[in-house]
Order: sequence, then structure tokens, then C-alpha cells
Amino acid sequence: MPDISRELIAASSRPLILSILAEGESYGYAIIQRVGELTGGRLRWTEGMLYPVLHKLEQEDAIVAEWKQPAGERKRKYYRLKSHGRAALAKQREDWTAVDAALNQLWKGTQPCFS
Amino acid sequence: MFQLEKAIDQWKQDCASGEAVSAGHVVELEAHLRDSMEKLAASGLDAEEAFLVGTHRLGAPAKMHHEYGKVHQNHVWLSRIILMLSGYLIVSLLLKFIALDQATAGLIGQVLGWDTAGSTLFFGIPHHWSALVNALVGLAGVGLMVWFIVSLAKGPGHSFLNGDPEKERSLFDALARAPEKLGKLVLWWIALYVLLGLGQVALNVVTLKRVTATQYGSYMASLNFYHQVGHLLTVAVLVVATAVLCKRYRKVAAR
Repeated sequence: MPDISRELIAASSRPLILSILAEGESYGYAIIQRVGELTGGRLRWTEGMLYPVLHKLEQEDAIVAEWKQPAGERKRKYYRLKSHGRAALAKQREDWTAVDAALNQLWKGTQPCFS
Repeated sequence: MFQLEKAIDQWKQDCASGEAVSAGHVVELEAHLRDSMEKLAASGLDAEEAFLVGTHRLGAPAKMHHEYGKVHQNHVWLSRIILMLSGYLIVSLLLKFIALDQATAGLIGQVLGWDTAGSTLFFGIPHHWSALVNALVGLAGVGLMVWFIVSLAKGPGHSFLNGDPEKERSLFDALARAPEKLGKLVLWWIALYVLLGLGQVALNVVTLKRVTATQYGSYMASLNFYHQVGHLLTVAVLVVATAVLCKRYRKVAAR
């Protein structure tokens, strides 16, 4: 199957990052790996573009960053969800659920068309 | 023969050359690249292939600069303002330092018993003494500015000149690696000088409009005094402002 379009990748990056961080703190490379697992590799970020989004979320006080070096590993910047970020995620979830529900109603009983 | 560490170093320099990319950001990107390369190597790629695929996945540095720039405008402007201020201070303090020759000449004259009373210009203080004070202030100031720039270039968490916080580099090394940053620095100094020049022109126009020729003559005579005091005060304020901004910059850049 072809990769997901650029526009959709950009629009979904914030809810995806917030949702992954809701599972627990993480760092850039691990977030990308997680997205790859979840979408079977179909959602391909240009990896470096993830960081400005993380930094923006940090500036908005949705997440907080901390340098850590677990024993035997390299130094990485870990990001963690803050209460403000949880609220932002709840709002994103509502919006995406509404879009998802609308599309599902329209598509119920029809077959995807590849013409 | 592919040299991995050299290639990574070069890539980090490319990343750090963006105005909005701080040294902290470069450390973050490097950790990502190394994680990515480890995984690629585990799937059978050799070091060079892993490096090429890893950097390709991260994206072209120019594109990264663009995206970082959108998010880190404050960082960009902070570094520009510091460059402007330190440029202005270095030039004006150097001018003070040049007065050292007058001071030395005056002091030698005094030691030799020459009549130097005629050179009383500043606050009733013989000119060579005020020139000496000026020169010492200038020397101290230039030292301070050099220290600002060196500490920004060498300290942890910055991308001012070399962008590599992992390695302590000499100032020489940092300057050799930074021709394009120095070019920008000069441009910002010129920008500040044009602005200050325009301000001075405006001040002169206002003064000329408001006073008679005689008043203007005596104003010019008093100017030396006010000019000196004003300049010292300006320099003092700018030194403090630069120090505060540098501290703030280091905090932002370390993130």
C-alpha cells in the first residue's frame, strides 16, 4: 500500500505524539519507531521534522523535556506529557473521533475503490 | 575509505549552521542518528550505508533549518541582538583603547616636566589622565567582550560559533570553522551602525532647529564633556545588557 499523504501526516503528527507520550515518557527516535509499528510503516515522517513539533509542544507547555542518560545508553532528551497536554489530547481525540465517525458512516457497506 | 566519526562531525556542522539550531538540538539529532544507525547496522548495513540512510531519513539540513526557524525565532533574534551589541561595544571600546597613545604621550611629557596644562579637557582633569582612564576602560571592555564571545563559543550548550558542545575547542579553531557566521556578524554590526547613525542625524537636526548659532557654538563646546560622560554611560549600560542577554542565550541554547 502507498504511503500516507503529506497533508495527513502533518495534521496527525500532534495527536500521534501526544497519544504516544500519554503511554509514558519517550524520546524522538523511539516515538518514530512507535509510529512505524502502529501504521505498519505507512506513515513516514521525515525524521528531523519531528523535533520542531516536539519543541513547539514544549513551548506551549503541553509537554516537558528532560535530558537523561540511562546506564549503558546514550544521552537523550526525554519528553513527558503535562496536564495541559492531556487536555489538548482530549480535545484532539474528540475532533478525530468525530471525523472518523462521519467517514465510517459514509463508508459503511461500501468497498474501497482503487480505480 | 569512509571515516564514520568524521562524516558525523561534518553532518553535525551542517545541522548547526542554521541560525535557529542550538547545540542542544544538535546533540538531540546526533543521538537520533546514532540510534537509527545502530538499528540499520543490525539489519546488515555497513557503517557508510547506515550513515547515508540514517541522515537521509532525518532530512536535508537546509529543510531542518527552515522548520527549526519557525519554532525558535526568539533564539535567532537573541543571538542577532547579542552580535549587534558586542560588535558595537568592541568597536567603541577599541576606540577608547586607541586613546592610550595620547595618555602615554601626556604622561611622558609630565615626567619630563613639560607644560601639559593646556591639554585640560575633561572635567578639569588633565587630558592625558582622562585618556588613560578611557584606555583602561577600553582595554577592560575589549577583554570582557572577547571573554563573552569565547565563552559562548566554548561553553556547553551553544551553537554560537562551532555548534559542538561535546568538544572544548580553542577560539582559533572556532573562528576557523565559522566564516559564514562571522559574515553574518559583520552584517549585523553594519545594521546597528546605520541605525545609530540615523539616530545621530535626527538628534543633530532637532538641535539645529531649536538653537541659535551662538547657542550652538557653546553647545558644541560643552559637547566634549557630555559626549564623554554619555558615551561611558552608554557603554556601561550596553555591557550589562549584553551580559544579561548572553546568560539568557546560554540558557535557551542549552535546551
